[in-house]
Amino acid sequence: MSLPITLNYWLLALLPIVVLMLLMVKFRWGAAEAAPVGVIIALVSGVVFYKAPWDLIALESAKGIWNGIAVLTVVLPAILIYEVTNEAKAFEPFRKGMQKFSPNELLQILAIGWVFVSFLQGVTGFGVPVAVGAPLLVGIGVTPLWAVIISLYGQAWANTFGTLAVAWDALILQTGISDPALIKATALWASGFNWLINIAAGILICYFYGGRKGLKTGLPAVLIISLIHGGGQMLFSQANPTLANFVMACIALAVVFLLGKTSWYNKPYQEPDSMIMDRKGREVDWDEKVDKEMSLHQAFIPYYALTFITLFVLLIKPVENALSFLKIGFAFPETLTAFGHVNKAVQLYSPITVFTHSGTFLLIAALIGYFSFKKMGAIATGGGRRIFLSTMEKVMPAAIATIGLIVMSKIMDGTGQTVVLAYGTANATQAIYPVIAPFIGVLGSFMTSSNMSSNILFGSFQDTMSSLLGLDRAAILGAQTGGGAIGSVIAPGKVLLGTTTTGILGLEGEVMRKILPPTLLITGLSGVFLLVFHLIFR
Amino acid sequence: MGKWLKTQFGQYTLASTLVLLSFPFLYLAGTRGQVGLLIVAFILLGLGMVYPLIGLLYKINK
Repeated sequence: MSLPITLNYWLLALLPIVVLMLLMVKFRWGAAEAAPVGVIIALVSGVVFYKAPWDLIALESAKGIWNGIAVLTVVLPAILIYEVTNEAKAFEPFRKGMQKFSPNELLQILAIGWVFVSFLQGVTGFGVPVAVGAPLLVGIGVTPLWAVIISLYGQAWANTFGTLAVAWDALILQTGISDPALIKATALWASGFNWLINIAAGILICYFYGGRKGLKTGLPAVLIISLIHGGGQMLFSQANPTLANFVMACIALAVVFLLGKTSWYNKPYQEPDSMIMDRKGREVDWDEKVDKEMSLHQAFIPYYALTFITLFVLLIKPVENALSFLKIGFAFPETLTAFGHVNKAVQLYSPITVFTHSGTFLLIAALIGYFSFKKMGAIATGGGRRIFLSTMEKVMPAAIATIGLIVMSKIMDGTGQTVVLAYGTANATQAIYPVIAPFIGVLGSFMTSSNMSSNILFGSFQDTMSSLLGLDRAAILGAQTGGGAIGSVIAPGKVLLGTTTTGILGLEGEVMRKILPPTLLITGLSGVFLLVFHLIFR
Repeated sequence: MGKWLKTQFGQYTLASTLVLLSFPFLYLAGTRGQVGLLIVAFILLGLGMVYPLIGLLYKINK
C-alpha cells in the first residue's frame, strides 16, 4: 500500500496549517495557544486517516520535543545577551554610538537589520540573527514588531549559503548530483534567487521606514550592498559555495561603515512619521557626545565576543573538530504507517554538539558581556538576579510555543502528511510546476523552520519532478533552496525567536499578517520568472 | 504556590515542565511499545500543551 495522493488526503494534510494560520493571522492568537490546536488536528488526522500507529506518534512527538529543546538552547542565551545589555543600560551608548557611525537613521537600520544580521546568518544561523538582531534594532528605536519583521527579512537571503553553506550541502547530498557543471548551474540559480530575496529585503526595509522617501534615500546603499551580497555571492558560489555567503557578508559589513562617511549618509536624516520608529524619550540631539562612561565599542562587547568566538571555532577546522567530540542525541527506531510511509531509524537524531553549538557561543558571549559590564560598574547589585528572572520570564512562554510548533510539524512529517501535501500540489499543477517549485521550498521551511531541513525534505522530490516533467534540473533545485530561504521569513519558529527576544511574545499573528503578503509575492515572482524561462528556453 | 500559578509566568512554567516531562515517557513508550507509558506520556503532553489554550479560552469567555 502507498500513500494516497488524493484531494481528500491533501485537504486533510493542509488542515493543520490552515487552522494554525487562521488562528494566528485572523484571530491573532499567539503561537503558544494556536500550536496545540494544530498538534491535535495533525495527530487525529495522522492516526485516523493516515493510519499511523501510536508508537510512531509518540516517537515523532519525542523528536519534536528534542528539536524544541535544541532551539531553546539558542533562545535562552540570546535573551540572556539582551537582558545583560539592557541591565547595563548599554543600548543607550550603543544608540548614541550609532549616530557617530552615521547620523542617517535609515542607514543605521540597514546596517543592523540587513548587513549585520546577514553576517550573523553567514556564520551562525539557527535563528541567531533574528534573536540577536531584533533586540539591537529595538535598541536604536525601532518598534519591537518591526524589529522582528526587519531582521526576518534581513537574514532570509543568506539561508542557503549561510552557516557555511549547510543548506546548500544538504541539497547536493540529498539529490546526489555530482556533475560539476550541474552543481555550478544549480549554484547559479540558487544564488540568483537569493539575490532577488536580498534586494527585495533592502527595498522593503527602506519602504517600511519611510515610504517612497525612504526608498529614495536608501537606494544607493541598497544597490551597493545588494551588489556585494547577491552579486558577490553569485560569483563566489561558482568557486567556493562554502564561503560564498560569509565572505560577501564580511565585505558588506566593512562597506556599510564606509557608506556612513559618504555624502549620501553623513548628514542627519530622520523620517518624522516613520511607522516603524518609536522615538519617545529618544529625541536625538545631533551634537550630543557619546557617554563618557561607556563607548559604542564597550556597549558592543557581548556582540564582539559572539562574533569572535563563532569565527574562531567555526572557521578554524582543527578547533572545530577538536570541540566536536561531545554530541548529545538519541537513537530512534524505524517506524512505519499502514500506508507504508517509512521514518528511517537513526543512530543519533539531531545531536547537539555541545561545544560548537550556537547556544554555547551565545552563552559565553553573554557571560563575557556580564563580567565586562560588571567590571565597568554598569551592572548594579542584584543585577544578576534581575537578569536571570527577566530571561526566564521570556523563555518559559516561548518554550511551549516552540515545542508545540515543532511537534506539529514532526507529526505531519512522520505520518506522511507533508509528503502528500507536496506531491498532491505537484501532481495538480504539472503544467505550471515551475511557479509551484519555490512554494514547495517555502512549505519545507515553514514546516521545519530551516532551509537545510526543507532541502532534505523536498530536495529529492523536486529533482524527481524536474526529471518527470522535463524541466531544467538546476533551475528547479535552485528554486527549491531559494524558496527555502524566503520561507525562513514566515517560519513560525523564527518569528517566535524574534517576538520572544523583543518582549512581544503573543504577537506572532500580528507579525505574520505583515510578512505573509510580501513573502508570497517574492516567492510568486521567483516562480513566474522560472515559468517564463521554461516557456522561452525549454 | 496557588498565587504563583495564577500568573502567566507560573502557568507557562508549569505547562513547559509538563511537556518536557513527557519526553522520556514518549521516547520509552515509542521504543518499547508499552501502553502504560504511552498513556502517561500523552496525559503529560496533552496537559502541558492545552494548559495555555485553556487560559486563553477562559480569558475570551470572561
